[in-house]
Amino acid sequence: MSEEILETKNLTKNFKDFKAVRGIDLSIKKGRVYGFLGPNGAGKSTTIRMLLGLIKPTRGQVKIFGKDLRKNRMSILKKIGSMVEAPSYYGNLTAYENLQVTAELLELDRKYIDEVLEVVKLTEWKDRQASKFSLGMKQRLGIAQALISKPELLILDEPTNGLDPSGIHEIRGLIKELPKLYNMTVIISSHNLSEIELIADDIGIINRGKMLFQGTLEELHSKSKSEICIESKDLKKIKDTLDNCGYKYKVKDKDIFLKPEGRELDEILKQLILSGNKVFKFVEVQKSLEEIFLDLTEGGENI
Amino acid sequence: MRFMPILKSELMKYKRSVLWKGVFFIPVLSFLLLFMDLHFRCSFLMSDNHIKYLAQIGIYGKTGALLYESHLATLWCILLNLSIVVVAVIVNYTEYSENTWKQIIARPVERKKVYLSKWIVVLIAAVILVILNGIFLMIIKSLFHIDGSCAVIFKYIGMELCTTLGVVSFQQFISCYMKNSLASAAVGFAGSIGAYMFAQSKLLSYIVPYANVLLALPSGDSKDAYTAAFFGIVSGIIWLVIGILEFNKRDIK
Repeated sequence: MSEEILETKNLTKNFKDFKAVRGIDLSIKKGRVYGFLGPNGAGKSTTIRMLLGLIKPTRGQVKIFGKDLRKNRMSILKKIGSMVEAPSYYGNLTAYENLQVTAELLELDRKYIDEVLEVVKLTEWKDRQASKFSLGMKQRLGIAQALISKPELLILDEPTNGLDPSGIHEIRGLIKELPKLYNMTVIISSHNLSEIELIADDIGIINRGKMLFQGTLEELHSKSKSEICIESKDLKKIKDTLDNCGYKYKVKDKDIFLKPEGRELDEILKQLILSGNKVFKFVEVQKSLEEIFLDLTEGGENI
Repeated sequence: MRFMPILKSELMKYKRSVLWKGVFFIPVLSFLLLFMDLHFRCSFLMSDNHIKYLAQIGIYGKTGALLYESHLATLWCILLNLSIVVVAVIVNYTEYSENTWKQIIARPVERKKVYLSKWIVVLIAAVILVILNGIFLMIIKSLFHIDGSCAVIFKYIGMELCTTLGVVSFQQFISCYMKNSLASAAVGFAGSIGAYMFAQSKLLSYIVPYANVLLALPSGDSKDAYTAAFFGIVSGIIWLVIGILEFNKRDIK
């Protein structure tokens, strides 16, 4: 069991009457990539801002590296690198100068600038003004800003937002390398399940400010209870048989979807055939991760 | 976290920015205006009749007349206020334009030090503006062979430095508080232009920081200038404290 690097208890944020985050309990383990998933407006960025001390929680507690954030903000933030939503940069400065500003602020050695530029593959463009960068390059500069202090915990909020597929691929590759390169823990938020699925070890799903799931990808998969898809020429007769046997089912198009609820599949099939049904199709279907996500987030509805 | 690296990092942000060019350009502009004014009207402005007239309103001697001409006729007091407004707006717009506030505040730095570093940049700009203007006044005095001691110019520089403190702190607070930089610029412009109106009332001329600068010109027994300097320092401190408290409590969205 790895040690917990970040923990929140009943973390809540209200903006006047709007409840942005409703008592979430995060638990993030050291050395893992944690995917924080939810539709737009679910409360991901608000949660991340609370973790970084940018906004004050209405209620609840944040513990990072085993210390209370309210009481130990400075010592905690020394070990955190972050990029919140869009990358922040000074457009009049070059990539190198932007990193120089951060290095000066954090009293870091200038040698880290070249090192971090190399990691994000911006060395070639280091003397170009940041305002002339493409979105992908700006994101990489943002990640370089977050990495410059060699943090133990890296928090990236929607780092692939607005990128084209090749840009997403590039950033994804970079993020996957980070725990190996620097032995850091990464929290990455996104509304894109497929992206998180490819990067994260653990997942937290949030919607309308509530934490709906937290665990490993395997645990999320196991949440998916299989269904049986049945197809027959006489749908009415099948439905009558299932009703008589007390099964719960749904009809989609010409298929019946049945939850076995602990009963053996061969037993169900036997009951259908012995009742004189002609069954063309009887297959077990597993829900995709996307379907689980949509189920959990009530259709992934944005706020 | 020490303060000097924060200030140094703050100053590094304005490389290739219009900020410092503006800070040096405005006193040069004022110098050119005053130079042209004296070039065309020196004999009238320094005539005994005009000096006597100025003495009736508390402006004494030829150096006093020069300061009067610079401060009110070529509108240095308005230019100074407007320049401070523009500098404060730029200093804060730098963070708002790409929302770099979140990047700074998510670092292990104290918010009050971040706010203070911005305030100091605005203050440095104000000091440069005032001192450059003072130097240009002395150059003009020498170019046009204007009699009188330079002491009154130094006194004027001192008064200006004190009165601008209020404008620096108030405008820094407004520019940092308002996310919309145009809105904070509008407040500053209205305050700077309206300073003439505020100065009609004794009370408002002391309370409104922009109007304090108008009173910085030593006239009569200089009572008004001293009071304005006092109020400039007081409002400078008050608005700085208010700014720090507000910034410390603020949610960075």
